[in-house]
Amino acid sequence: MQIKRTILFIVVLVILSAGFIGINKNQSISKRVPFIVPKGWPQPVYDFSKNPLSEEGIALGKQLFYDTQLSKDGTISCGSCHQQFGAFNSYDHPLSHGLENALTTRNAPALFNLAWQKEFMWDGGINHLDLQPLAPITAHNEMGEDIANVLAKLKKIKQYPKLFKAAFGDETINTQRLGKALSQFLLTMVSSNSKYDQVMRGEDSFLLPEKLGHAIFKTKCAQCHAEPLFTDYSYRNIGIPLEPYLNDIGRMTITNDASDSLKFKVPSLRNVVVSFPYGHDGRFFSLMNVFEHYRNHMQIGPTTDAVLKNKLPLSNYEIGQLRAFLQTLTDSVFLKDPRFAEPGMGVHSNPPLDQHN
Amino acid sequence: MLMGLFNTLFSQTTVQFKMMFNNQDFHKDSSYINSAGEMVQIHRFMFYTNKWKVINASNDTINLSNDHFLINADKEQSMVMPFPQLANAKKILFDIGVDSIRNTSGIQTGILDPALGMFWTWRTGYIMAKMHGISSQAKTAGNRFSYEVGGFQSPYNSVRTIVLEVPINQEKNKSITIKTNLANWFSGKHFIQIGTTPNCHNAGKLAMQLADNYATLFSIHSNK
Repeated sequence: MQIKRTILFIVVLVILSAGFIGINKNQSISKRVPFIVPKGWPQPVYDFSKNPLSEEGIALGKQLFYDTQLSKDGTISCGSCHQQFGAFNSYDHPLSHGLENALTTRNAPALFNLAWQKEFMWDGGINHLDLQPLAPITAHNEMGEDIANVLAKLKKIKQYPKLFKAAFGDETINTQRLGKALSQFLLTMVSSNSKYDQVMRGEDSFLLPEKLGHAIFKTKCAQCHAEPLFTDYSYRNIGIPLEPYLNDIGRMTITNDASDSLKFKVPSLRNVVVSFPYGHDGRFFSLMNVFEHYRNHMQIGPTTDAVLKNKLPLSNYEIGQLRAFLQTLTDSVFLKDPRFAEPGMGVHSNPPLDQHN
Repeated sequence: MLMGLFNTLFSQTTVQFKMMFNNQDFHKDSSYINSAGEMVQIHRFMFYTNKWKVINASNDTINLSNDHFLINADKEQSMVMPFPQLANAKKILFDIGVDSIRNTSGIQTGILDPALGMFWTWRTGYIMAKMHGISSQAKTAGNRFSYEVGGFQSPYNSVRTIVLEVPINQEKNKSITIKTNLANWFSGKHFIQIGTTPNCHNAGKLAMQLADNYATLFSIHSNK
């Protein structure tokens, strides 16, 4: 009888502890985060089924985004050239800086709404968001590091094996997980709360110049800077003459097709006022420079975009209204969202002065 | 003896690559002369391969593997293919390069991990094959030449399918050796002179010519 009771007790104990183990297992599974598509926007192109967002994955991605160990000499992180107050572009830098005083050959683009973007870089040479960070990490004039070496360093930093386990289920650190974690953080950087968005949602209304500017925008700019993302992600030559020192032929570098010469990806105009300088090599410091380019300085060549063969006539009046409209594309919620700020640094409450616009 | 019996019973045959430079055995850093008369020393030679199949005597196509392999002239074990059975093989087929789906679906793992260095980070795509070395004819720093061949999209797709006839008098229980003649890298179909084109680091016309050349590296000779 005594033995039977003991056996029963043990059996019950085993069942109970098995239950506890089960519960603990469930707790270690990362917490899924839904990706919310703003109302009226198209479906994202990123395949979330291959990399479902989780709190732990996003946190790891943020940690990596701001970790200077991703660079060869430990001085540069992704966040060095992608600063939140400039919608994650490089403040006032025509060309962003790399390690050991190196200059890159292109302007660091602002980062947001990447879930809708199919190809990356000004020339569209990279075909998947997960792969994109490998370009700056390995470029000799950016972070100058070797992928295998980055992985070796991360494995040695105490926190990372734990963070990778929390995000992906075990402590394996490989290139794929590095890319996926960074993507998870980057994908959460959705900018959809500008005054323009509030007006579109019926929560606010345009002032008269903004409204007039919107109408002008729709006839003169929206063909390429299509709403609601303010780009159609195409590659176009807008008559920017070849820079003789950089010799950047844009899309043709990737396709080897002469008809793609001097074509660059159409950038989104969301947050445009805070993301100066403009153009693939940052040659335009202000919006006024850009308007002057379009109406006066364009160099028409064989690959210049068909809609710009006669340049883009803009009156002073139109430029004034367009400027008012473009101001409404600034998403101050996004620019100050603590979810995207550097860990331990907080949001820069006073971004540097805009000397140009 | 036992091994021979085992092989006969199960037609256990492996395939292996043997690096050559024309009729000489290839040794890393030894000097050879290419068909342009240029001195060639090769430090590194690597390529991806996949889609291994055989066509047998009854003309059935048999899939050998869905995996990718990275052949490295520096690593003896990478040159032995792990296939179990090649009974009555009439032809062997394989691709040099990486399947296009692996070039368009984000970051891969294992042998296709970009950390292995056979990948372009500045423009997406695998380096299908690479050859690095020196030549006194290379007008470059350190006389180095560097060929990294890639591109997976038309019209500059550098993947090549290789079809090799297995000699009829092939000894069934011996492994099949694929002679890999590195001299053809420079002259298999197009004439590539190190003196004029010492580097290839992008998809395009030169990469296509080199790909046409690497499609001619391989041959099987009777193992009798």
